[in-house]
Amino acid sequence: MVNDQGLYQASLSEGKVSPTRSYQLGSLFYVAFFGGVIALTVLAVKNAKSLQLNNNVVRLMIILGALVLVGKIIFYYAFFQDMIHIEQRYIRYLARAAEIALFGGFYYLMKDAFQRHMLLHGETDKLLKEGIIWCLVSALVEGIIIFTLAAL
Amino acid sequence: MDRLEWLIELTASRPEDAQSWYWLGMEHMNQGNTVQAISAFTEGIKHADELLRAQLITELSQAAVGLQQKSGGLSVQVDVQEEQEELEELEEPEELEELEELVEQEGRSNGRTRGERSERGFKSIANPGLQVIEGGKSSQIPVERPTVSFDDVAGLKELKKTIHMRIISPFQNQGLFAKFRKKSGGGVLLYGPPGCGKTFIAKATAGECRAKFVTVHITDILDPYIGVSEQNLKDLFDKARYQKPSIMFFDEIDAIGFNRSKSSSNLRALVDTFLAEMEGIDTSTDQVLIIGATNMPWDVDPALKRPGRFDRMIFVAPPDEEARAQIYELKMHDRFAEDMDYTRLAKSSEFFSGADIDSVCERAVEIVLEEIMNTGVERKINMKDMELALSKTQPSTLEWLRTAKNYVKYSNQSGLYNDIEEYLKKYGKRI
Amino acid sequence: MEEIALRDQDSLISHYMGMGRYQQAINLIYESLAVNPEEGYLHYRLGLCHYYLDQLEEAELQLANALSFGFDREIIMEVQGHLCVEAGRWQEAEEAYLEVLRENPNDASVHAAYAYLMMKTGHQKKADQLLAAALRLDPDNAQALRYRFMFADKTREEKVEVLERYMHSTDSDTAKLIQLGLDCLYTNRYSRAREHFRQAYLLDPTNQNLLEVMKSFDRDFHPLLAPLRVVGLIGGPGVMWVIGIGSIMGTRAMGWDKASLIVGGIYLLFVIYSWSALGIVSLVDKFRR
Repeated sequence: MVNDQGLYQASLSEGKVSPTRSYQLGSLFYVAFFGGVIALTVLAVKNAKSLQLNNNVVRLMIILGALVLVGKIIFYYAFFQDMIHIEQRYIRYLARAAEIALFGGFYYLMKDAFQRHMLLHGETDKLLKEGIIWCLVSALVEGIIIFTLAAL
Repeated sequence: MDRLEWLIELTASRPEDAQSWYWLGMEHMNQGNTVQAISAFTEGIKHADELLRAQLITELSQAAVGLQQKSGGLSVQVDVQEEQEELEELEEPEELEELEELVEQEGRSNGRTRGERSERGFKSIANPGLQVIEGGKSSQIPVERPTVSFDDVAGLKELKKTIHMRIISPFQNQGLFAKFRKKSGGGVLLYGPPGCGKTFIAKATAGECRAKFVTVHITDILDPYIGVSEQNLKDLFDKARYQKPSIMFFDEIDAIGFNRSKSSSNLRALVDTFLAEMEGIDTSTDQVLIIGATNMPWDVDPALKRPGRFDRMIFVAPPDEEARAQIYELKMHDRFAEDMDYTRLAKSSEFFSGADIDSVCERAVEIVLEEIMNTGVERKINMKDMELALSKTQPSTLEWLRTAKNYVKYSNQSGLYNDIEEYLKKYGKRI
Repeated sequence: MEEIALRDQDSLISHYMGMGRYQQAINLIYESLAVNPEEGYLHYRLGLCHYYLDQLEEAELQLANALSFGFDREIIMEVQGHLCVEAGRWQEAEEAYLEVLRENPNDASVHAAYAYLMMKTGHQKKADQLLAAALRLDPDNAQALRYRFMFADKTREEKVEVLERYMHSTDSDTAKLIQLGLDCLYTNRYSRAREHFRQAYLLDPTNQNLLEVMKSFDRDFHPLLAPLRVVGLIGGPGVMWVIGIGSIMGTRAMGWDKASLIVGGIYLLFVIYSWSALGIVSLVDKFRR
């Protein structure tokens, strides 16, 4: 909380300028679809911090991402241990659905801040390069996890 | 002995010789002695035959006009024909005496200053209906009878036809149009890109209507003190009504009738006055036509564009090919130039305004002059120079036309801009 | 120029500036400056006109001239602050606003402008407090209300209340229509948003930003983009994907292989169409032109 005296003190000296930045929120959908939980969570959390969202909101996003990842791992483990009897592709579909739902949650948490950012600055950062990199990283990590689970 | 003295002696020796009085009057006019000229012409009328009488009356009318212009307060050029007709009706010596009394009054008062005259006011004995209307700035606004007509306007046949039908004919045939309850006054708004002759066409319209022409600009109205601008505007309307039939031409009308939803309270008061003055101008018997010209019709308050005010909006397009050729010819005819193919130049300068064509001609001259300075060899301007100048000049109307194109796209539901929509349908692809 | 003529000229300059005809005002100001080259007020007005025409360098030069010729520093610094915000010189802008507030701590507009600067530079808490201060000083301050409506973290009801107050402020009709348009846009009422922006554009058809907004609405409201508008209405591409994939999986689970194939085919076509629709619309428009 800035007190009254602080209200009329300079706040921008010594490089304390940190305008908000953001990716195009809708583009995170493709990260969710092609990249998986890890890519989506990492980039969404990064975006939330750039939008200067409340720390509690950022923590909530991390927790939600972790929950979906854990849920995915549990589901794959259950599948590989024959605890659930469905075709493998349905596992993928369900995983995708969960990731898209996670994207929906992140979108809802960030949309007001994104709107404010667009009104103030009118521009977004490019997601393509980072998106591809994190999709590959996510696919690799999740691949290793699933492979490990299958091997158990 | 000079000519004037000789003529004075001649008329003294032969007082019944109308011709001598005529010559004396003309010599006084040449020397700027208007009062004495009027006196001489009046004397001559008493003794003249029919042919000379007509001549004397004409000269007398013009002298009277000149005299009125010198007086303070109302500055008006009276309809010469009207004056002639009135004077021709003067058969009785008493009426002539009245006129002489008028002249004597003028003679006595000539020594007074303009300011004093305006304080006293002025009433004509011969025409008691006339009165001075004081109005600050408005008193300085010249009222003229334009000498231009549509013959002086190059090309633009369709526009001239439109103006003839919608403005001139009602004005000139008021009886006929009144039978069909078609108005002969009211407001007309000319709009279009800058430099395309809106002011010139307005003057030509006034010339065709043979009405008095009062040009009004925002500078003639505006005053820093509260309420004075509105009063100036009101006075101008009163002046126009007293001089009917008259045409008031508001140049840059968007500056006077600016959209109130975009303006401050100071500007709104002026627009409100304008609206009040225009109210019913089309149905009254004042025979006052208001012509407005603007480059920005979208900035004119919508209330001004409603029936009863400026309900006739006419688009003044950039000159057509025929007009452009004539303008080129006009601009180049007295220059040191070869014979030119003006039609070809006109074809290559689509959307060029008159001002743009002028700029092309000036550029061509500069090109040639520069060459002459460098080479020392004098030569005429030729087609190549004109084409080179043309290639370096862009039409200034394009930006306006693009704005208008977008504006009409989003706003012509009421049909107010049908003129320009038609134009854009024909030429819009090239804009 | 006589005194009366100068006074009339000044009146004319004010008139043109009031209409937003800044270029014409500039021409007249230069005429006056030819007679009174050291008149600080004229340099200030010149600076203001250049600022409104986005000619920031010229504006700054003229404001400096106005200052050197003794015009009111407080008034100049306020404009200087706005200028620096436009130019992205945040620190200088802050210094300018703080200087004005030191001289006049009750200036609501400068509070609002400073709040905007704080928002731009990521100091949201301070911005909120400055806006609150502005509205305490002047509850009807148009600028403060506008920023409050646009940027404050409020519920929908609170935002509507602020919007109502803003509509009664002295801001221009163009600005108000833009705000209404933005409100409709961000609550997914696109046709109403378009109408508001259209009205704003009609008030100022030379405004290129508004023209671009209208063109983007034309694109978005193109008949060929109707399916995408439906997607927007139902919640966006994410929801559409869920529906599509869910339908394919659902029909497979029910054992309706043929239906599943058909649904999959339709869905695939729709996906391809949604990716290429904008390109198709541009081609169609080009062909029509």
